[in-house]
Amino acid sequence: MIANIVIGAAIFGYATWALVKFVNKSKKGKCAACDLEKSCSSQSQCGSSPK
Amino acid sequence: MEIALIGNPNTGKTSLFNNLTGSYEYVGNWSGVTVEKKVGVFKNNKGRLIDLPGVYSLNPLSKDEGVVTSFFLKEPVDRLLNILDASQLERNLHLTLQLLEYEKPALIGLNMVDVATKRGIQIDTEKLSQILGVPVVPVVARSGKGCDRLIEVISTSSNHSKVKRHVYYGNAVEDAINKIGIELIGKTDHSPRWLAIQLFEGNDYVKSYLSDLVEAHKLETLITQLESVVINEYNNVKSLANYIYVKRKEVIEKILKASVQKMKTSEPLSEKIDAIVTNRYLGMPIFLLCMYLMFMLTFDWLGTPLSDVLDGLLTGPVTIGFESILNAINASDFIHALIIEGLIAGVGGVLVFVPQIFILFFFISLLEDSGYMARVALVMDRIMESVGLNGKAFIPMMIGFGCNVPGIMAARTIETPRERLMTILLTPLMSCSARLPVYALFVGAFFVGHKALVVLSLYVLGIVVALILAKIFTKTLLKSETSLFVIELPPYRLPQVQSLWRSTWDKGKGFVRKAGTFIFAGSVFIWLLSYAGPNGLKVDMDDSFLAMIGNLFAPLLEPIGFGTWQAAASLITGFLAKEAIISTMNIIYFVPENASLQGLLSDYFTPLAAYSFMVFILLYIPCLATAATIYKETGSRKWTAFSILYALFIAYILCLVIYQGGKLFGLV
Repeated sequence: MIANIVIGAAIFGYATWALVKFVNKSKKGKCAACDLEKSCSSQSQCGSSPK
Repeated sequence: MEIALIGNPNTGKTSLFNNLTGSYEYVGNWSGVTVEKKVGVFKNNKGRLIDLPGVYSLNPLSKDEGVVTSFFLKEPVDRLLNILDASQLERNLHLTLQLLEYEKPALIGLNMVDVATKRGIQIDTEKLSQILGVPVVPVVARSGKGCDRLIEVISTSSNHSKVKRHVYYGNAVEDAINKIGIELIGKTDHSPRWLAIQLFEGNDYVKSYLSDLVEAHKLETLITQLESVVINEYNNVKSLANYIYVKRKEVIEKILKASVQKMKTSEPLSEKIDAIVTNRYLGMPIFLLCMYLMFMLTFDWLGTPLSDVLDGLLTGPVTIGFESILNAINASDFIHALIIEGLIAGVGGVLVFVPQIFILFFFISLLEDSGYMARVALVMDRIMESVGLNGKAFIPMMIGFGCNVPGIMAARTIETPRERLMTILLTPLMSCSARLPVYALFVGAFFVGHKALVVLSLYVLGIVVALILAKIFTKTLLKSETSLFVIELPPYRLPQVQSLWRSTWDKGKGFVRKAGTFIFAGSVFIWLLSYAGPNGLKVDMDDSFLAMIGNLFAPLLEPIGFGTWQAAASLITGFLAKEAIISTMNIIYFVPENASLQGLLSDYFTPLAAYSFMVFILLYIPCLATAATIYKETGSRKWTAFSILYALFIAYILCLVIYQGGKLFGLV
């Protein structure tokens, strides 16, 4: 019984965390949402256009 | 110490960056791989190296080129490392002269000396160094030859140019430079000469910088007067910017005469290959043939057998292993079903396609690294031009084949705002790798004899729809002038195993990581929705919450061939990430051992409906990450909403035509 509760809680806990993290990251768009992000150390230079 | 790495596009800056810092950045064999600056630490810890996007001039044409100019204006930089392509010295030196005018200590890395020698170009580096007044170090960035010497020179000597003025621009211009110099005394740390010349060239970034220091009307008057003087004096000069270009060119010709020897060589192999692969009539068929072979390998020859082995492993030993563990700990029915029918079905169903995804990425990397992709952009240019875009827009689209997000980011290299917007809107129509598992599943079930051909047809369909829409958009929503397409054809090269593997792994690992995070989470909740219903837990799946949600949309999908709640539910999850479609289907159509999902699918889809479903997946909506990127890049809710809605509309109409039209022709 205890094993069931522990496994269930672990799975649902991790799943909730992973889902929230994924949606937040995706919503950020750009580098954060990019599959190559981990291997790319770009520093954003956006918004540096002339006035 | 901050050292800026700068050079023309595709001169090997990123390769050199990786070699000097020991870090790994994404390297591609085409222009515009670096759209933002990157920072790394030198191997000997002597300073930080900043890799800037490739530019032909410090006077920016596009947004990513602006990164470089604003970097020069705003950020502290101690030294410049200018990398030159030895085989394209004439064009590369235009930037070098501008950098020397910036008057910071500089060093030149002469890259691709091997390519130049093959083309019969001999460069006297001593002489070149003497004329420019800065050290010139020959390197081969790809193999790392000469990099140690480069690090040594840049971190030890000060390298201020020994030559004070490289280009004499004539009395009128030099006077004007002096006038601006006087105005700027004590107001800026930058070289007044550099600022003045950039201003005369029409550099908007410098103009906006100077307008804070000097009264704008003074500058305007000075420029107008100077322009009329040079135009009057020189008949063939059209503008002040043009005059400065001509003056620099004269100096470059002298430099080349003194330091470069050209020997006669036979026509290089590169050009012989180009004559065939970029041929007006052969170019396109060759590209399609390459793609066809790529899909044959992915789906027939190599990928599917590997996937089958993995599938056997997951449905066999892995499932049995989990079963026995669950039995041993007396797991409840709920936990048992959650793990076997939810997690293993959902996550495993996606993991099965890892070999195919990796094979596809391997070939995309191979095509990129060998230099062929740049040729494809050239071939596409002729077609793209007829729809109001140019070949440059095809590069973001090709990157989009991997993942749409970096594809949309790469659209920054496009100069005109209208073309950039159009490329951003059309890139999501390119079939990204996350859609591949859906195709793999369906072609395996319905089109066994023609797997590669059917997948190829979907990729081509994505491109064709994008081209047709581009034509429609240019005629209606986004009317304006087109820009010119200039692409540098990089030399063909034999890809190195290490860089090929890294590039493949980088593209593919996102897929594996997603399986462990988002797909895991998605599988848990999708399974829960299919396990629970208004009448409690462990309901029949047709009475579950998931079925209720799916049934809301199912009638809408009836006319396009797949009006089931199962199809509707998987499409909804696909908005979060396209891979989720496949895990949802695996959970919904969960099959006991010995039966396959592919076999079961034929109860719900006909081949015609399956094709219609694949087309719908291809086009129907950009995923959440893509939509967010579109919003960030366009800065407009309106265009983001438009990109979602038009895709839905086009997908629906096209599927309607395919399904209903197919039925009329007697297809099933």
